[in-house]
Amino acid sequence: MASYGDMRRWQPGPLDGAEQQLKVRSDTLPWLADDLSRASKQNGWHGMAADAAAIKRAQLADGMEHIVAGVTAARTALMAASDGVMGLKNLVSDADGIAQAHGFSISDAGEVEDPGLPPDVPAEQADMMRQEREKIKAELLDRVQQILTRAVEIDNSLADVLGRIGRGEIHDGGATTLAAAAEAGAAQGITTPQIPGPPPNPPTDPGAGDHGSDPWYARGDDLFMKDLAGTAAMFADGAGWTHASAHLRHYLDNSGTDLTVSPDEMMRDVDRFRGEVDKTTAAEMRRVAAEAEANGTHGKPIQFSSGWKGEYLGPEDSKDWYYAMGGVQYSVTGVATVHPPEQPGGESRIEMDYKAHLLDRYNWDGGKQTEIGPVTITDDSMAEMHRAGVAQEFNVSGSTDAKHYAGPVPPPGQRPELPAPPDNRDGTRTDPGRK
Amino acid sequence: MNCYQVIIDALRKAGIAAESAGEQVGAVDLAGTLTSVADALPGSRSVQAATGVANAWTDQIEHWSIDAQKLGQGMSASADHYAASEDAAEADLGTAFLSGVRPF
Repeated sequence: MASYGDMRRWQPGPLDGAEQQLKVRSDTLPWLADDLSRASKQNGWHGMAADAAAIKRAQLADGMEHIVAGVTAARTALMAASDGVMGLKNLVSDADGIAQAHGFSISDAGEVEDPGLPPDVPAEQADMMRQEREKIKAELLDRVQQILTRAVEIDNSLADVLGRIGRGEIHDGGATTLAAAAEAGAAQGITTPQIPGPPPNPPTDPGAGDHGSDPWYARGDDLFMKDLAGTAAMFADGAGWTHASAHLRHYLDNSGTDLTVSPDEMMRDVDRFRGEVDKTTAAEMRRVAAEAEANGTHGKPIQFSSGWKGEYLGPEDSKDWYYAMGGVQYSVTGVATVHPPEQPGGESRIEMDYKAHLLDRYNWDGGKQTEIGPVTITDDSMAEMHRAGVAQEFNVSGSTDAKHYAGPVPPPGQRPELPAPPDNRDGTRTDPGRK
Repeated sequence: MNCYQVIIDALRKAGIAAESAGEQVGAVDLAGTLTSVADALPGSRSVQAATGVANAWTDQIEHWSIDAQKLGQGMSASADHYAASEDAAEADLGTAFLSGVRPF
């Protein structure tokens, strides 16, 4: 896989050059093939030799149609890669510029290096500045991640088309002319971008520690606590906190397996969370529109990813989701096509398909306690069960259904009319998994 | 020149033209266009994929060129056979007249 240092050296020019050279060199092929076809088709020539020549002529015509289809597929893919690299170089330049402006550097391995605070920072400002630098570092890491993701997409698209040409998988679409074969090839040189999956999982907090790390003879209290927690799960379910109950039960079943949750349900239940996701989506729309404007990629589908964002769901948002998740990470990924304003000074329009993703590590590592029914649950006692090996932490993740938006690019501060989460709660008592 | 002779000459010319087209296609270097992918995208998967395409194109062009030349050569050879047959037929007829056989 190419590194961030490689991205710095990526350049669109040689791809454009290859495409142009390919055009010039391949331009002679159709008329040479026509020459051959005309020459081998002689009026008045009949018999077995003429029939054998006709068969060979047809084979050669078919062979040339496949070559031409492959060449046009390669040209289309090279042009698309060139456009992609042009945009990527701007992203790299932006990230490097931000790093330099704040005294950071980004290594070829994509690591953000912080030389620390200048020695003349007053002591009373040091904490604040350190926090500020942490934020900038996080943003830079996020940008590096997006650049790497985008680079992989560009590379995969080109490599996939080239791979298919190399394996002879580019067909001529049943063409009977070289022009039709060229058209069929061009259509296969474009890989329609799909909605990217969620970004790679960010590092999680250490949680309670290693599962089952406590000695067996110290587990008596934990088994008692496990019974109590089971009672709490039952009360939570009775109170309609069905996600909280399901997640707690999964913790207690001690499997440690991943659990899937629907961000659509969370967005439907917690309007503030939906607002945050929509704000992030709108910010991505503006970013993609600015990128299309800067790179001249209007009308071309562009993949995007917001990177992970942190959000905390408090009890005032929803007790169910507060107990089920608490702090979560979410991201928005999609494919957007930006159309320029119809008139100078008008609004750009955007068409996009996108998903929101959710991620959380279900663990207990704070110093809080909460009452669920008659049961008082403390973070410490819950974490202790994981260390005792009678319950186990797990990852919670999920993605929304694909959503579609077509409309103006929203100006900063304006929340666009994005599709509402579907209201498809089939179970009773608001439980999506209820049987 | 009779009609048969016209076809033989046209076939011979067409064979030469076909062979020439084959030779010219053989000289088209498609593979060489992709070497710059390595300059454009160092460290990428595409570099290896481009090498695969370059090899495939080299093979395809070479085979097409050889086959086209063989077709042209075959047409020229056919023209030679037809001409030889014509000469032989003419010689046969000439021998028959010279031996004093009277036509009916």
